[in-house]
Amino acid sequence: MARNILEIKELYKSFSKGKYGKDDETYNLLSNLNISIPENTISALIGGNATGKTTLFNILSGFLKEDSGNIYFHNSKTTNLSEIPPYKREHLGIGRLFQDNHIFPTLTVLENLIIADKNVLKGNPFEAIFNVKRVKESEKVLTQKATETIAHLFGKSHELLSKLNDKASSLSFGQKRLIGLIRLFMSDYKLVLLDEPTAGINPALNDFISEIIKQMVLENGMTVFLIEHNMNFVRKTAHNCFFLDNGKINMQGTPSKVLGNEFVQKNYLGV
Amino acid sequence: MLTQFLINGFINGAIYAMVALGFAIVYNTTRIFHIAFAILYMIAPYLVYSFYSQAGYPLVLSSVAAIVCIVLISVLIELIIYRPLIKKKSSLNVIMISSIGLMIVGINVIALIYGNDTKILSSSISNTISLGNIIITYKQFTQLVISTLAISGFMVFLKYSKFGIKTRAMRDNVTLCNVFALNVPKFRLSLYALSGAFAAIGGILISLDVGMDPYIGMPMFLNAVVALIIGGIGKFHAPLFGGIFIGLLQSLVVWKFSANWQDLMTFSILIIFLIFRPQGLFGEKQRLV
Amino acid sequence: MVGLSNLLSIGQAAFYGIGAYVTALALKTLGLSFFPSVILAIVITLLFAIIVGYISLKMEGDYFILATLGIQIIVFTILNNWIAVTMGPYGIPGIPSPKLFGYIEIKGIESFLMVSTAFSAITIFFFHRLIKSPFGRDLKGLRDDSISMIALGKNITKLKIQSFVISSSFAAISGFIYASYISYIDPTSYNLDESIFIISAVLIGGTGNIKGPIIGAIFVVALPELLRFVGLPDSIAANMRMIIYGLTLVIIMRYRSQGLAGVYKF
Repeated sequence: MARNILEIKELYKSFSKGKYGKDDETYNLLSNLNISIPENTISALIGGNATGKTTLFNILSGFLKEDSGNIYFHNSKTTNLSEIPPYKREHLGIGRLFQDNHIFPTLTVLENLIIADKNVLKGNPFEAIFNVKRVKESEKVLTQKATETIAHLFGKSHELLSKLNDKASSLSFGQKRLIGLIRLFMSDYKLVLLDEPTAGINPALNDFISEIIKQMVLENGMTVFLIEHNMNFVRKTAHNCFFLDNGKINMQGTPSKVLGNEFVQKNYLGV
Repeated sequence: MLTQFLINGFINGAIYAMVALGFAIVYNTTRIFHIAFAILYMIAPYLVYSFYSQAGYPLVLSSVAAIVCIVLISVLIELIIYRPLIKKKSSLNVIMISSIGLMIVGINVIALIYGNDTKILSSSISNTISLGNIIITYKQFTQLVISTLAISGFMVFLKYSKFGIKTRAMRDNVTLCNVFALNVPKFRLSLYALSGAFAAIGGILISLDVGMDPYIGMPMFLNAVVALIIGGIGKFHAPLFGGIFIGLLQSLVVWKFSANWQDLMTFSILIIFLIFRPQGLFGEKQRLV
Repeated sequence: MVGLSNLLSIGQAAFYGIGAYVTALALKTLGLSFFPSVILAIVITLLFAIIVGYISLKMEGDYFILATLGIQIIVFTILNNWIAVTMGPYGIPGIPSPKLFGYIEIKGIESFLMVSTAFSAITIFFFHRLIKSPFGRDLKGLRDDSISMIALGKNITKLKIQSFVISSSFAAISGFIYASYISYIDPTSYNLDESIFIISAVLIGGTGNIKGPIIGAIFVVALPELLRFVGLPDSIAANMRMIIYGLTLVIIMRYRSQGLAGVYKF
């Protein structure tokens, strides 16, 4: 049994019912949620619409604050994420792919990738003025890393390589999604949270994305936690599957076990 | 003495509250930072000046005519400037900057026509009402009565009329209003009309006492915005408390120090609110994501 | 020049004013020479900008604009009323010309032209490097999508404060040049109208690159000359000029919201 990289314990999150309701009327989106994600695996979170999957991811990334509960991240040491501001969670090694494409439209494709780097300036803008040589060198290294990553993942003749200096806004939806995925390879992440990696993408690309995700685990030592609605994709890609229903994990196990369960089939898959 | 200052402050506060309400009618429902509102407030007394002091019509008639003109201008601003931008899906910042541009134009057009100097509506020294030690001028009395009437009229209207229900609905959710076939563009016109009327009444009331120059709009606008923030954005009764609060506070500053430090106090309070209670006294906390 | 990070500050004139007043006091009251005065002006404005930045940059959208507006008015009120130090509305007259290395007095239009050209050149060079650097890239990223920036582990509050502070220190230098050249300052040069004027120049030119604000500044400066050339009397010209600025703003926002030469639309 592999070590767990992420442990979510007794997590609660509720929202007030909107402006017309009384203040004490709340809607419990997540109640007593417990999940453990084993290291170096691919885990899928499934569940109906508005069951709180993306909310959970936003809590993990720190964009939302949980009402109560603990989230432990085990890397070289154990951290309780509750007290860590969002941007520092990334420094711990947690990456994120958003459901809608959050890429930077006015930056070029290349810039969209190398912006992931945090080391070159170490937060000091004056470095750019007074230490031009070092900045130039690091930019060169980064550019090389970006091109190599693309070539490694997609082959040396991939169309993205000829579009490196185009504005990202000119890309298609699917290409933007690929940029989001490639960007995750630019940092040394331990855990990546993928919110519907195949959403809005040409089904022909699904297998391809599945391969990329497997590569994250096998070659780059990442752990993948993903939200997905495409069950074939889950079967093909994931090692573990968690079914979120009514604010807690209703069932977990291998994808074939969870997806084959009668309750899941009836309540979610609608079979 | 203190009571006298507090009463003066309260009367000023009532006018702040009314002007703030005028701004809130637009801001709460459309989220447009309608800076051109400042010139509506400023132009109104000039129109009264033209009708009353220059053309010689009675004061009440001149004021009503001025209010009608301002309502028209307010509606035209929405029609000519804001609506095309909204159709283009411009961001709220773009709309605000247009509004700044419009304000610059308005101030300078008035300055060209009437000059930069202060104009006064009536130079006569006002009769006063004395209650013990406290003295209220007739002008102040008029200010208090009219602003109270306007505010309470609006509040009753907001609560019971169909128009009021629509206004509150639009404050809460514009998309839903569209879905329920409420004619939003047309409805917005009536909001701008109402907002313009409040600005005009406020401008005229203040100018009765202290006259006007082309630059009076901005300070009043800022006070109104501070009143709105202190009260809380999104609630229509909130600017009332905010307005009175500022009015009283400023009179205390005048009493303790001098009128010069009024702005410092007002805006320090604004910043304190923005830091510690951005939702205002009555507002609800809003979710960021 | 804050345009890059999409922070619309209505308080630029406050920083400009603080720079100018510190200069005036340093040169006149303390009798310092060129470099110490510049440095003092920059350092004090910088400190002020850091404080203001920490307070206001945690706010979003309209709240940020309001906070900078509030600070603008507070600074103006202090300049206008703290008579003991700033001499209030009378202003500070007779600011001595700064001395370079204690010997060369910078005086007269030629030397000031040189100083301001030098500063402008340094400014443009500085910004050019900055925009092309990873820091510039981060600012563009921040403008495009702040949520993604956080997810990529960037401290966006720090980024915003950095860009705010950098642009404020340039306002301080402008204040220094102005105060020492005109040799008289009074608070009305640093009020809200001045801030709105600065924003107009930036927005008319456009943001996101260096070209934009420069073209904006040229437009704003050239227009009065043009009006004088047309032969409008001075009494009308001042108002006419402002009317044209205002209309230009309205028209540009309608048809070309990235400004005459800028990159970013608002």
